[in-house]
Amino acid sequence: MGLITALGIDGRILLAQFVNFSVLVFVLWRFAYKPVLGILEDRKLKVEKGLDDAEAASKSLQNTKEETKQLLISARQEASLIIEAAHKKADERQQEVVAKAEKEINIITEKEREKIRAEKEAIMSQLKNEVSGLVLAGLQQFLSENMTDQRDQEVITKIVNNLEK
Amino acid sequence: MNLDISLAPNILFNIGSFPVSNTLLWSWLVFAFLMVGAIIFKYSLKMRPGKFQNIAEMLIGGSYDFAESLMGSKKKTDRAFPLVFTMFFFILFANLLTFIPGQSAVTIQTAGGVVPLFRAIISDYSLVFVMTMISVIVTQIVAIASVGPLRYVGKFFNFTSPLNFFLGLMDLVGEVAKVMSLSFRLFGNIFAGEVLGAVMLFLFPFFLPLPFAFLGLLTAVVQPFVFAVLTLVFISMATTTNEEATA
Repeated sequence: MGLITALGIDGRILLAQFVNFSVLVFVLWRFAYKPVLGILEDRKLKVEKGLDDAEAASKSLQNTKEETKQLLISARQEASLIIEAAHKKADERQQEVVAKAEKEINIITEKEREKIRAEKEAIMSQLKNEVSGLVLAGLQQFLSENMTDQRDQEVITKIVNNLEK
Repeated sequence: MNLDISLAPNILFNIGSFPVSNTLLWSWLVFAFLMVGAIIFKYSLKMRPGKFQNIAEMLIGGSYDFAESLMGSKKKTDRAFPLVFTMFFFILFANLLTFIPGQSAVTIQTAGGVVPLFRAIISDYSLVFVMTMISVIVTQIVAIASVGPLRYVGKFFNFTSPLNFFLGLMDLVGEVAKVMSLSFRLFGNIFAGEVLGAVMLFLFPFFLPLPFAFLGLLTAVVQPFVFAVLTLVFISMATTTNEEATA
């Protein structure tokens, strides 16, 4: 008993301190440990999620890059096909146009030639007419001046002779 | 100047017939401070921690991980951690509080003479005894809950052979001795530190007390750790049955 008094132990104080300490344990648990451990857990989850997200993002970025690459390649192929087709079409069209132009030119040339020929003929016939007229007039004039009956007879005989030969 | 060393805390005043000693008063203040601090702390918690929250998180989180590594299971740790960590933190805080300089110079006049207003809280055996009893009783409750009441009693009163009977009795003595060893280790260390400091201060107040103050600081940090870890180990041991322990 001497030790208990020497140490200053009092049943009421023990009880009071027991209650106090229990309350302290409860309050610290409720207001300090639990929230802190909760927040640590939350943060851990968040960090894990963040890392997962980052991984997923980088993966999807990789995929997108790959897709873009594929898309570019296919677009390039398509573009070259289109250009080739366009070249072909343009060539065809050019040939068509050239052919058509040649045809037209031929037609026009032919027409012109025809025209020139017709004109030439007309001029020739006119020329013939005029020349024959001139010859006729000249002949008439010559005959009227130089023809006598005798001469006429001679000429006729000559022509007949010629015919008879 | 005379050196007055008393094992019991000094009574400051009485509320009715209830004696209020200097350690009791300070323990109340520390209780109140820690509770209010915890409540304020809870409502200032942020997902992005500041300096203080960082330290608190490191302390609590690190202690939890350490406790988990000792207990081996998260469920058991969740049960034991609040009690054990409060023991550690309260004792540590109370001990560190004694290093605020100038405390021993403040005395007040009471009915029983001039007594110091401050005294290390842990150098009052009552509170240490209360915490030890909590630790030991919780250990026994955990043991009963995990192995069942019959086997719990059977551990101490084993009639299978004379040797086992003797060992069982030794276990019983060991449980009682636990109370003594656990409480007097803490109380003795802190009280001795206080006395040593006071004696050195009394002998020669300059420089001489400094090494002892450092020693006291070491004790102030190590003893709460020892107390808490021992409690944790006791609880952890109580959750494993004899078969598991020997297997």
